[in-house]
Amino acid sequence: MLTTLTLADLTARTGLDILGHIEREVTIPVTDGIQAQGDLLVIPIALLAVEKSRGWSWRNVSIADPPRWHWVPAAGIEALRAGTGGNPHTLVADPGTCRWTTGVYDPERLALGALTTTGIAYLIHPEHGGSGIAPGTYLIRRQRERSGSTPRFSSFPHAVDRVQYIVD
Amino acid sequence: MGLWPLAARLAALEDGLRSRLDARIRRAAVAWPGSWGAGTGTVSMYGPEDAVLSGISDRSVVAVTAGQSLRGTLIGAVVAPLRAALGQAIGEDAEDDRLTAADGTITFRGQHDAAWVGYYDIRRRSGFGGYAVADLSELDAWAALARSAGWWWPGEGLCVMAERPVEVHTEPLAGSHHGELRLHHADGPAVGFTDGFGANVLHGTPVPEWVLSGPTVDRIRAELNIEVRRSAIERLGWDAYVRGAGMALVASSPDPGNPGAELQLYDDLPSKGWGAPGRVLVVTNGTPEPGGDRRRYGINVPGNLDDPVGAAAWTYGLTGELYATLVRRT
Repeated sequence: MLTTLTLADLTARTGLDILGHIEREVTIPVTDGIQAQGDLLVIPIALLAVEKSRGWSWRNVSIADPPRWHWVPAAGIEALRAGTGGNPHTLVADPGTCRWTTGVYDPERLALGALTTTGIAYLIHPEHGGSGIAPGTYLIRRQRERSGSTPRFSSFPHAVDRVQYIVD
Repeated sequence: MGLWPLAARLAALEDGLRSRLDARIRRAAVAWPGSWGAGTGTVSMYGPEDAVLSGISDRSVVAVTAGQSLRGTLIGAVVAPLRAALGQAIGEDAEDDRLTAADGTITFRGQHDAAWVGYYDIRRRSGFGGYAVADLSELDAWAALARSAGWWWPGEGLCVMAERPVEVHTEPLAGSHHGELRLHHADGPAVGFTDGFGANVLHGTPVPEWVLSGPTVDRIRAELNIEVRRSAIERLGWDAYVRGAGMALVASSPDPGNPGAELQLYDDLPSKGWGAPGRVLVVTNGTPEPGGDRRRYGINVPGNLDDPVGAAAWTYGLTGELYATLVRRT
């Protein structure tokens, strides 16, 4: 699926719901860069595979070896089961074009998974509409916030602020 | 042990059983060195199927799914607020009810004992077993109780039993690939009994009743518990809170990928507890609400971040430079 779609096309194909007030006739923008859908962030994995010298135990984002990819079916898969109300972010693509895995090592511990696609993949959410992902390999991270009173600053990469994960 | 109160004897029996079962589990782990046992932290990052397909031993997966995740849901999410609410209701500090001292109440959790009974039972049914036969029948007795009872308190010739709650409202725990839940209900108690007793919980945070019915800036500022404060601010609304509390603006900048929206970084009010105050990043949703306006909300960030874009980047584990290249936010 290398032709772009409108939100109306996508909801018709997948049967997924979008809230009524969101504009449907506009083509869903497609990008190969970093983009956000609510509290989810889609990041080209190549941008993360940069050497960072944070100490001897720092490892970069990597996909499990051997990788365990699952094909994304036409009906899509849920990238994130959301909190209240249960509105999920759903990843959809033409069958046979996009694969997904939860087997990802993320030093920031924010990764939900990774996707690799040869066609355009879409992330759909009832409150946020659709986001187009160009062919490539990407990491999907969720968002965190600081929780608790004392952050710890240390060169040891695993000493991080107490964090809380954010949901829509 | 024969002179101990009945409850203490039963608790000792339970502890003995669990210790013996744990010892058998450890012995079995040593005897099967072939599969790759992984730490629970690693396993938690995978969904159960992915973990097994990646070569992680099925025992490690069961330890996370049926052990850690179940325990997190039942004990962390459900039992903890109930215990706190019960303690408050009877006016004593219910920090540790598994006391072995002569005074102190030992509570047996009935259905919530599924947190440990379920784990040992699933291991047995999965064929990892290795338990002693006598222990199996003892486990079955606890399982029968977990299947049928609410909380119970045994005494000499008398056992007080509580009914189970009639309502329990949960939501999935964000980031859990293993089905872990937490309590949440905005319209009343998240777990409630027929006599009206219950616990109010918002997104896993036990909160006092005023958070649900009447959050105000003054009540929020008077609240010592940072988690309760955060829940109450969400209920009141961040803009109302920032205005009402008079928080100082540190910096603002355009929001990458979100035309027309600003990122605003505020100094949080000094917390009444210990620790350096953090900062709050107030952001605007990329997509409008049904009414047309865009919801604003605050995210707590570390106090050493001075740049709004850097603060936004921190929430995703990125550098400010990378986050500034964000193409589109919906």
